[in-house]
Amino acid sequence: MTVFTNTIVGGRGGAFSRAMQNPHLIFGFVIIGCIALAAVVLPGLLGLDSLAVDPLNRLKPPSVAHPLGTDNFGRDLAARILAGASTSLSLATAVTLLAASLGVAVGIVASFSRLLDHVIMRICDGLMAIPALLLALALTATFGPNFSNLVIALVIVFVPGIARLVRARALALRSETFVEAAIAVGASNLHIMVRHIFPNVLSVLAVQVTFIFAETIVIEAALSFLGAGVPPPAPSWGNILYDGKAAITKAPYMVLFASTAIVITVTGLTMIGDGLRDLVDPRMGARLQPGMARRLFGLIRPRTSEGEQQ
Amino acid sequence: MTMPLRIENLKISFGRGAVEAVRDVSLELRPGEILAVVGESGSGKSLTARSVLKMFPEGAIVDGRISLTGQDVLAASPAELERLRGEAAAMVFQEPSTALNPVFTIGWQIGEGLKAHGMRDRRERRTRVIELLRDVGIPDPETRVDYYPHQLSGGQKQRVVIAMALALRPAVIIADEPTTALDVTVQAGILDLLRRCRDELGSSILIITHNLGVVADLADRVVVMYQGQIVEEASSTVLFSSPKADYTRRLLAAVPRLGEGTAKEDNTSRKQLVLEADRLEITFPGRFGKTPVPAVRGVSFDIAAGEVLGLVGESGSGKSTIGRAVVGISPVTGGAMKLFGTDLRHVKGDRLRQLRRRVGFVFQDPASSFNRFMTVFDCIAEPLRVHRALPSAPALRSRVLELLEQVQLPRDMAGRYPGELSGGQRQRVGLARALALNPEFIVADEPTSALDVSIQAKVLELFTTLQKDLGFAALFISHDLAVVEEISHRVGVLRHGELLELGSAREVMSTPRHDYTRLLIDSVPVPDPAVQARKRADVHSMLSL
Amino acid sequence: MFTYTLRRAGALIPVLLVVSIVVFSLGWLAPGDPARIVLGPEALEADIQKLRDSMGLNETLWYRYLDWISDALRGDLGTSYFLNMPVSTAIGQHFGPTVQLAVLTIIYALVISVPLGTLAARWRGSGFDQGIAGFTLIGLTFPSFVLSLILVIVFSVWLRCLPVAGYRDLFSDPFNGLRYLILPALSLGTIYAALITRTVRASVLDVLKSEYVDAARSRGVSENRLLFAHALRNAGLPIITMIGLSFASLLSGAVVAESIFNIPGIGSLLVNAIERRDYPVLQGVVLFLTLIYLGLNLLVDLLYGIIDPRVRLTGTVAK
Repeated sequence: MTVFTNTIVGGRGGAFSRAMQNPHLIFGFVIIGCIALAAVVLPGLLGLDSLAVDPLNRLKPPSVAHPLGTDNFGRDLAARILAGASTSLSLATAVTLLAASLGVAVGIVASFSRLLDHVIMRICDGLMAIPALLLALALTATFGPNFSNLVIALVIVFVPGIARLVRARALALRSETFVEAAIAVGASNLHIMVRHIFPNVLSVLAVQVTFIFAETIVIEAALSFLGAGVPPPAPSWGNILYDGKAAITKAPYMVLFASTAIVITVTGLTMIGDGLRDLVDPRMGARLQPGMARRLFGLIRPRTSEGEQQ
Repeated sequence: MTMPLRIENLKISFGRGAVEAVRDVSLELRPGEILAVVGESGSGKSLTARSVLKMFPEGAIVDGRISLTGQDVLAASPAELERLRGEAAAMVFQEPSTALNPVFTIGWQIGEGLKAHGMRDRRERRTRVIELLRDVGIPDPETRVDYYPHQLSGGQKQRVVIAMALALRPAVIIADEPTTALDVTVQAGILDLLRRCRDELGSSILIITHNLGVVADLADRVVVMYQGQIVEEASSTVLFSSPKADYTRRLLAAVPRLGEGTAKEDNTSRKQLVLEADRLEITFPGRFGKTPVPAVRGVSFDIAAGEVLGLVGESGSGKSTIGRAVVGISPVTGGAMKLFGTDLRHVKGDRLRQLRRRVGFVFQDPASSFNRFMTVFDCIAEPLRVHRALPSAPALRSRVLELLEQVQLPRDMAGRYPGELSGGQRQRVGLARALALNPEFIVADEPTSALDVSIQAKVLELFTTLQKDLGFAALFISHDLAVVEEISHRVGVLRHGELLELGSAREVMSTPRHDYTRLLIDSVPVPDPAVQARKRADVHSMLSL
Repeated sequence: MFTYTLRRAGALIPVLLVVSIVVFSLGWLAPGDPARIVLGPEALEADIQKLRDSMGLNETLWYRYLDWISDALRGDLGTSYFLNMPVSTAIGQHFGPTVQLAVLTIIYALVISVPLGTLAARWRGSGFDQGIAGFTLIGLTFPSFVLSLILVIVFSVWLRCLPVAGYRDLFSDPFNGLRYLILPALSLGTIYAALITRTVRASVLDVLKSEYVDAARSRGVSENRLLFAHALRNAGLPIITMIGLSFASLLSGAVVAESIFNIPGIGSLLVNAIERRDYPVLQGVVLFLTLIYLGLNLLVDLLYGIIDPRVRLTGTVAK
């Protein structure tokens, strides 16, 4: 036998101090925090109007009056990118919160009853067999493109994944010795769910939720770019890219600025996700799961029941 | 004359010298000798063994000199190293199922070593591989050469690993805990095989083990390691008869010895029965398209109040399944299992929970039997909270502290998390949790098999004391005969789900009625070279019958 | 192996059932009367009713679903509202360009990722490994549509060496065909290259750390042989899964790339169908791409069986 260091660091004890030692996490939060703050504060402060059309100043490169230039309707690009940030962030927040709470509920219910489990999981399998972007595209096309339909469509896309993850984790936990120990003591199902299963699921969920947040932002941009997302003239990063693509030879900066915004946001979220994963389970970081990689990949890839095999 | 292996002043450290795993170890292996390196976990014995083939974990800083058949291993070039590995020294690993690559046939894997050392002809290789498999006692080697590892049993896999080591007739064989993962009857066969390697091929063997019985059985000389250092080196007979170092003496004292358990008079009355199993059957439902597997077949026994019943058996004997059935984690599918007079097949819900309240359960692996989000306090308090056993928070607190005291843990442990404790401490917490509700009956499922010998001794002592003081009945499940003998009043022997023998501990151990029990008892190597040699002869005569 | 194949295929049936229900409801949930969409706003009420009858729109929902699914099983996915042809024909016409793009993309991704990932694992912790880590991070944080726009700006707008958009058939005009497909393949393939690189590196590392590699090393097997015989074969399982899934998802990922580069593939068909509310085409394309995905997934499962003897011989995946 070799040196066996089997120390698992406790959950509550020093979680915050460990978070403070995780540069990825801190940096990620700083990035996302700055973007959110700028989206909320700057437009009011600088008197930016994302919808004010100025036909005389169309497709002007960056200048003092318009630090990021203007778009094909002469609208201020800085104002539109900031407004797009608040669209993206609020959409992502709504989708993530709804999908997470629904997914956890469905997943836990499924892990309780065998019959329900079968039915629910087959439905999840079916929904996950359709590539996420394709499903989102088809649903928004059917419902009609607007903000709330976008939320509904994306929730439908993400709930099966979360439900599967929660259920797989809950079932795995049920065969863990500490849950058996609780059963042997005579604990009720409810006690086991609340005291043992939920805290252990929560940690994995936190990581998953971060990745879904990032995915939502990318999918929204893609949908808007394809004309099935937030309807114009409302500002959204996808819409800016769409307009920018038409003017790509005359005003490449439109595409560049909007792309930068998306990439920075996704990078920030990736860092939070990776950091959270290290925080939740130090072993997982070293394992095969390329975390964010897989999640991002899931955008266009149909999802299988991979959560089960863990 | 050059020694097959000489290690001089070996130092291995990690984290830029922060952790010294091996400190200044020097030893030599003589031609045709079996040298055992003994120690508990963390003693650095495995690292020492692996360094012979220059196989270090990442980040290891190594200093010293290792000469293998006269060649300096640590200074060897990659090409020289590849030649030395396999040709000068070969290795046998602890866990045969991970030492074999699952996607290649065993023949391919043995042949790979031959090919690496210049045997190019495919047919010649195959003939040699079959020959090797026959030598290590694999039946029907012509067919088995094309088997994949998962098609062989654990003992056979270990034989294949040994065949690989023998492939190039190396001067030195390094065996790293070669029998730890195996059942005791299988272990005897593997130890015999290793002995034959020395006797017939003249290999020198360096065997790493924590089991002093194995040492007594096999070794000519012994090196005892503790915390990275050699504390004693002596010939096997001298070490066991007159150990010099303190640590060696403590280690020898901690080993439970078969047949030396203190006699326990059985003064329990059989009037009040805690548990009755009557032709108990437990069958797990087969998975889709497969026949159900019976795990326990027609087992009958009972446990009286205040009595400790030990159940022994090898892996797959159904011993743990029975223990789990007591608290309803495994289903009873036939016969009857009465706990406190209530048949477990007919209780559900609240009544089952009330029954569970009167039973405590101690699990095998203390690391996984606690929720890592709960403090030690919460873990111990959980049964009390679940059953609302105590009226107030202060009462709860004082009860938990009282329990900690009973299992001899300091009070300030209460605020720590299970992950921060050592294995022995965790198992004490497990015991405290089981005792929380003052149960009349405790089920202990291999409670010490994950622990080092010296820690095991302390936990067993604690268990015995508590049992005497509190007077609970217990079902004690273990694969280790000596442990069961030491702790129980009566002993049951299980094989393949059937109870072969049941009687008082003394009776079963001294005059076993069933052949399997005898084989089991005789297969356990005793930490005394003289006695062990006699025993080995017995086993041989038994097997040849 | 045969029962294994059957079991894997059988497991798809409930999935297909759910998929068919979802796809069918897309058409049913869609706003507007299909008959009115086909005939246009000025159509007469009587004509609309007649068309409704012939399209089966006046039947019960249950009946319409059965009707639709039995048609779909025979390969009849309905008729496009606007293209004047059966949906299956339209998909057939648009499938070629998509496959060309997907194959080119996966070749690019594989050529880059397998060697890079293996070497990064071999020299883990080195500067090379760090560089690879940086490359994969960049590859992963750039959504493919963002990357394609940036590539267009760099290569077509600034350097003017590649066309902005368009398509030539690869077989009839290989040189120009390739010129048009390079940018789409690069932008689409980079994310997969990054992903597969990571998977290769991680799984090769996993295998190199296992005890059977140590055991082989102790037998004197050379490091290169360990890497190529043991590690790549064992790491093959996760790598093949990743490649299979990548290829499947490429087909749907191509939707965005095709619309950016005006490639007349399945993606363009879909985006046009969405713009024109051509629901039969939308349904058909979603169903078709999902089926392809499931089919490739099944293929990966079967490949698993071939590589891993535990699966092949016992029909179960060992833990």
